[in-house]
Amino acid sequence: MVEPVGQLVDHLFRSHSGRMVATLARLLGPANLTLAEEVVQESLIRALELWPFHGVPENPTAWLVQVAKNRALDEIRRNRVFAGKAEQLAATLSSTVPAEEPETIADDQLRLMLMCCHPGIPRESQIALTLKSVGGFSVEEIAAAFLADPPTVAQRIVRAKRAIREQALSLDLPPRTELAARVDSLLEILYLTFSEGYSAHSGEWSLRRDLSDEAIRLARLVVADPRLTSPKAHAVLALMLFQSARGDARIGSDGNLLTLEEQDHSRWDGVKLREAMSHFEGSIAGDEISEYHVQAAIAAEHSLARDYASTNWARITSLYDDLLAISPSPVVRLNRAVALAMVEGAESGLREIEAIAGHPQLRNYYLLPATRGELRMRQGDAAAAAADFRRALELPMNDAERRLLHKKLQLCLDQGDSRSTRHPSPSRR
Amino acid sequence: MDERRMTAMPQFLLLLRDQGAPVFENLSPEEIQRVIEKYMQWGERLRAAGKMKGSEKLRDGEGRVLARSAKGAMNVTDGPYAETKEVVGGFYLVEAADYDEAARLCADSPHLDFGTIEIRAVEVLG
Repeated sequence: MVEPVGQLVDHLFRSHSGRMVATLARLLGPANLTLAEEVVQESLIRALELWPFHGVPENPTAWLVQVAKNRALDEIRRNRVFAGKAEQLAATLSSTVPAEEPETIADDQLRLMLMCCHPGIPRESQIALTLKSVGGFSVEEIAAAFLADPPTVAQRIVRAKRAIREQALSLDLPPRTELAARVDSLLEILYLTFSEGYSAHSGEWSLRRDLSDEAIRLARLVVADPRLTSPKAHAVLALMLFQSARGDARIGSDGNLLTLEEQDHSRWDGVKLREAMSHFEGSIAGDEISEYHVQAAIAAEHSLARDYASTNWARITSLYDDLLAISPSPVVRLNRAVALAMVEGAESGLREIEAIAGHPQLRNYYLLPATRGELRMRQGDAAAAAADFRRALELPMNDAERRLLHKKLQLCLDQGDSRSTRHPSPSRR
Repeated sequence: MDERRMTAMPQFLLLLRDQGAPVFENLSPEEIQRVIEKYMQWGERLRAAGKMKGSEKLRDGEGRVLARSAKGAMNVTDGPYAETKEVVGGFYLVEAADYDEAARLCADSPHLDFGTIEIRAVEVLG
């Protein structure tokens, strides 16, 4: 195989822009977060202009940091906003070494993330700002991931920065009494980011995987920090890792989505599963059992099974009962119905689904009719199943999911066809 | 082909014109990295084939134009591109048999996504 030439370290720019922004935000103060972002972006563009002609410098990250700092110095000296503070800021910037210690970098990022999660900033703005500043994603990428317009995302970021300035938010760790709640908030944002990437509502696979990977990377920072870590943080990270370990196996050789049943368990990522398991063990330490704990336990059950058939569905059903006790939601009940159907048969699952079918939260949730179709198919009622899949296909979903459903619908039609000659031959789509 | 001809392979100057940094302002870090990698891979391919003879980046946003006025005085002005949108951002020196080959070498340059490439043969005394 030919070595890929001219290849930089994977995601070097994305991860380093996040690190540099966090460090510069500390040096310049959080009110100047925009300046920090701008000079970092300028340093990356500078690399784009120079490296094609001069080659990559020996230490690319140190080079980028130095360029960003020089740009910041220029701006501080030129812009009257900094009058009076310019000398001191310039001194701070110049005195720091170009390559910070890894601990310092992690600390900078954690402080910036915790500030992004300040309750004075609206939730949607918290997510957008965290992904932009710490995650190194562009407004367009965030918009694509969260199915929003770029101007809406930009507006959310503007709102967040205004809140930082107006409330004079600082990068100091919140007082002890508030710290746990702030970390909870951060974990929630990270998990949301992860699942947004993992669930793949739309868009590019690679971008979505980056989103999930970034959430894992940041969650690892939280777990590794003795001031912030908690059994709950371990649970969140374990949950992400369990799901992510199965990520690649979800996609078949034809690029289409596979159902859990079709997935080859040997394609699950063993290294990630082991890491997940060790964090899962770390999550059991406390007395608190959070939603994440139970979800991680469910994911662990799936991961421990050699294949779909040998999955411990009874245990999973009872874990869903626990989850319902903590957070009652029709989506959880739907998932429970699937597990229950595996234990007691399709009939029981269908009864459960009927009980939640009218729930307003599930009105546009394609997985409700799709799951019903699945169970009816299992009962051998291909015609009813086909009707369910058709209903599901009218609801919003991404292309991969749509292809999967079309495949299932076709299967129903073929089966109905072979069993009864009264049905007209199915039209191919 | 004898050795003397080999060493006398014609050289071409590739002038890369573009509109400078603003084109890249809205790219994400990830996208910027991908663009850099494309340029590097392109350069690497030419180097591996022994075609690349040199490259330099020119400083953006500055330059001087000298001209002598009718009265014989030397005029120095900023430029030369105050009124043009595209400027030469840098250049490569490559070896190629002729313009066609030089153009082929440029055909997969990522630069064509952002600007143009002017190819000029280096004149030799002969």
